[in-house]
Amino acid sequence: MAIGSRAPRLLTPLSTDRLNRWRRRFAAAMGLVFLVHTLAACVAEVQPPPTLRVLELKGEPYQRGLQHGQALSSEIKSFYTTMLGTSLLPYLNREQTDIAAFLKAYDPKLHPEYANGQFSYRLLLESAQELEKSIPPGMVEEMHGVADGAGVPYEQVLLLNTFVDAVLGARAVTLYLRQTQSPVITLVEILPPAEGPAEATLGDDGLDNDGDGLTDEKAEARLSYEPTATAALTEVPADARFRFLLTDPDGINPTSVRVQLVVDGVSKVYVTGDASLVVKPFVLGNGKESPEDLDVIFTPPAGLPKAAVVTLGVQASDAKVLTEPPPAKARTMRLEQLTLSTRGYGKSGPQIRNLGASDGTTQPPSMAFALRGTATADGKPLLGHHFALLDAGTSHKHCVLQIHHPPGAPAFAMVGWAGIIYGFSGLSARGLAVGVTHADTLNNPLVGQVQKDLLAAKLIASGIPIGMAARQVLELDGTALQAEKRLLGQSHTYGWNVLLADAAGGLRAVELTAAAIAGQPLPLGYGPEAKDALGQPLSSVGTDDLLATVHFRSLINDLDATVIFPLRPQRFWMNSFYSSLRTFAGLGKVIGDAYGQWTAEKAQAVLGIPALIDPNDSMQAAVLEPAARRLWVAAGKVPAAKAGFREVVLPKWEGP
Amino acid sequence: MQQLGNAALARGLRIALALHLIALWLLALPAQAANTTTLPKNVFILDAAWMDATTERAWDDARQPQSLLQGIQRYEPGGGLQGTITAQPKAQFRLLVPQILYGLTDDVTLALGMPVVTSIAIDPRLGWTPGVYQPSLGRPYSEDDFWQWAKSMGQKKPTSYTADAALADMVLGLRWRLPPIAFLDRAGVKAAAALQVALPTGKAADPEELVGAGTTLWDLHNYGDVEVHLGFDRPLTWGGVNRINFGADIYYSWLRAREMVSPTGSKNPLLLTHAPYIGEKWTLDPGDFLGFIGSVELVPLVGPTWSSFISGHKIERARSFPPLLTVSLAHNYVRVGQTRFESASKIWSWDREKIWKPGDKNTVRLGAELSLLRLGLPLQFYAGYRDQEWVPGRNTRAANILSFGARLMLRFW
Repeated sequence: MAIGSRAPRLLTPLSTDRLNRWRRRFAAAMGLVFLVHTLAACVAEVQPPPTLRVLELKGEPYQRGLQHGQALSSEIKSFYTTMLGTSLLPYLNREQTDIAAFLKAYDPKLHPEYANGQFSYRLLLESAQELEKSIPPGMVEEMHGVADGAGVPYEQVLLLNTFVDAVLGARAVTLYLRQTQSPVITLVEILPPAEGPAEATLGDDGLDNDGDGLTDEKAEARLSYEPTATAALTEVPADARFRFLLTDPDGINPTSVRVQLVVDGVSKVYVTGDASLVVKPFVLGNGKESPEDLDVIFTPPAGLPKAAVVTLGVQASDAKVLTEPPPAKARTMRLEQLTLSTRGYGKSGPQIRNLGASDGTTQPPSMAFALRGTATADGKPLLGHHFALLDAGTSHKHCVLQIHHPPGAPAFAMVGWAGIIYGFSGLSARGLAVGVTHADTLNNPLVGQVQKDLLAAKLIASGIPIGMAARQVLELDGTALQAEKRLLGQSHTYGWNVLLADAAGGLRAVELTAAAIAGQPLPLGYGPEAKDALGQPLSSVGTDDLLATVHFRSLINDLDATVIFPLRPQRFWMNSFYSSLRTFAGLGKVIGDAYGQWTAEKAQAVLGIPALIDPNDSMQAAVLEPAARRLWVAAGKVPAAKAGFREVVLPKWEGP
Repeated sequence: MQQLGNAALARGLRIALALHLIALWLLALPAQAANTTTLPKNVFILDAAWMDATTERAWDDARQPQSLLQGIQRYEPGGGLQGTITAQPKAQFRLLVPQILYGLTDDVTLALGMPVVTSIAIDPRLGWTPGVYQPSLGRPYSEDDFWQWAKSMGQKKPTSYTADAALADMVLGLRWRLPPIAFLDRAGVKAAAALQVALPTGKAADPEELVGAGTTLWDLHNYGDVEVHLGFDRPLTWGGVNRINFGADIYYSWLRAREMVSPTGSKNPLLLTHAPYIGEKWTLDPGDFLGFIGSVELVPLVGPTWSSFISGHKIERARSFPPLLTVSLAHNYVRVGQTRFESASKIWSWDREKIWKPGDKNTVRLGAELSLLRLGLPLQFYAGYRDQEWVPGRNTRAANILSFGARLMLRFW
């Protein structure tokens, strides 16, 4: 360093003033950092997890399962705990007393393995192990991968993948038993007005009011009641009164009677005590009051409108209060719904739908629609699907779109849940779309077991879980017809309605049961060209569409046989039968109103229409465009469409 | 019970009260200008306060009042909405807060507070809004139906919770009256810095209890594990007496992350079976506080002033003692950061984090202090009321607290 030159600045001793100045600056800088940090800490907000997880799964089945399990370990554990552990399993345990009274295999005293709260777990596990036998080996490997990836026992993953199929059969049996123990309508009679001059009665009006091919026969004004999808009576006098004979071995609580009158879609409910309603014990031939029967006579206060369609709903509870399982309740029949036309309307019974109006006791069920050609704006096919069954406040938090990329095979995607390797709707890169709804039936493996083993039977489900069957058609088939053939060749666990749409415009509807009872109608498939007995479209509003909700359109007598007890078709006991009819009709109207204009965007809007969507158990919604290999998926909120639709396009497949 | 089946009820009823213990020891100082006063060297104060805190209301993200527990929807598997459990819980905490303060020097005061929660009473006050019609029942669930149903699944209806005395997290504090800073001094403003540290002596809530509360600072939710304060006072004097004082205190409270035990459902199988999916332990990282207090103290009554043994029989010294009656009004704004819940389940964590988003509390304080020092007695009595409902907050719960206390001043050498 040259003499006289300045020392390097850093080595220059700092004066006290400068030192203090630097100290102040340093303190100010640190203060600023502190302030920024604290302010940031006080405003930073945690963001919610995604409403829909999207998984790209590659490799062999086990590898794909492993990726699934690793990515969603926490969701799988929480879904298992919140859906099964703290919801479904304890809920099913409550049914043990009822079931064990009928099926001794579940008596905890005779079979202690079902005691101490193990009933529901073992029930589902036994079904799962039986169902596993029908699951394709690749899917079993994939479930093992899920279990290993998530770090949970395989048994839990197997239960997650089979519980829907296992529970629905058991639910159908308990529902049916419940309905058979509830009051039933045995007779409907059309009465003339109590006073004053009457219009011609059904017995002398020169018309075939009940559609039995006979005119003015002796019992024309008396109808042996059975639930139907269309009007039961036509050309009824506008001044008619209605008598319903209700029967229940335990007697009927006269104060529980409700009659619903629906005119022009407007519903009014009358209850015991209303002037329009007379409720009295039925008097037997010996002059004594019947302990089992109740006469309900309803007089519409202002008569009925002429040349109109009117629906009457009737509901009552029996006189016995059951305390097990809690809460205490009487057996209550579903709101039975009878539609009729009044004089001058002109149409025959099968031409009039039995729609009525919701009284709030049921919600719209799952639905699906498939469109093509003249129905869509660009002529290309699309399939809309909304699934509602069991959200229980938790399913929607665990939704996953799984996109599979199997080696050497086309990609496919299914909308499902964490830990579950299937979904109820999906699309393949080959251009096949599928949507499934459940359709309650007693023609299921559990009833098959009862037929075989009688009271020694166990409620064990069998067949291929429907989600896996749907997935298999996405993996293996390229057209709706191929898929239909595959589905009809499989053994199924329960009743299902399946809609299929392919890139070439093939549309098929498949109605499935387990075909467990011999001599009953077999599963079948059809296209938009299918007609009912009157030559009306079976499940369509035009030539290029198919619709489905949860009732069978073709298999209307899915089971009518005696298996210990007389067993009846779904329309006799399915809780959602009438709401399914309404949803089907509502969907048809929406589709018909915009025929020829349908796009994926418009289809998404349909899946959010409140009148068509269950507000509580809505689980997932999807619009699938097979030709474009595009999916629009909404999930993660209730109802599902509230989450908004997310677009995913599958990679093009060049192979066969 | 977003699953009587979920933990919303649990998280709702596990009340974290907003007790304003913060700066309690600071306020215990026997003088006006409460943000900057320190004790004379070697002077002790023994202080005991009794507090009654009630919480019934929470503020939502839009500053609208809500029940402490939002409606919890319950579902019948496959049967839709059973109904909504409503609740208007009321939680009452009673505390005894002994404190000791000591003047290390004339400018530095050391304090130790030992809050004891003498009782906790939480009444869940549950109600019910029926859901959809249940075919299996023939009616929608009534409240009684629902709890019968829940009981059949092993879940009892939550009842009132009471707890006996337990120590809360103790607080150790130090205040340093800053040397005169020229520009503040010119403006007649005094300044002090304070540091407060909490000692983890409180009792955590039993994780298996659905309705309950602990006594840790997380449960009390109003003071941090470590707090830094910067306080200012600007007294205005007439006739040699500070008649008015304007005060300000800005502080930051850091709350450490803490490991919590997950409920296994041993007592509440339907509602609190969390361990299988969130892990045996989870981590709670409470949001920090950034607070500002603006206050004004008024002296309506200076009182008679007598020379006595505590003034060394000097009237001039006695006149420097606090006036007979001081009343105060203060507003405390506290910005509360996001509380984070870290568990093996992102869904579970989010379900909690969404109700502990960043927010704020607005506390209005009214106080009165009766000092007998000028009369020759080393005693002070005080009363206060703090309200968090008069001015809406956001994403926080409002606790209103009534307090009474007394102080005894001692000097041993």
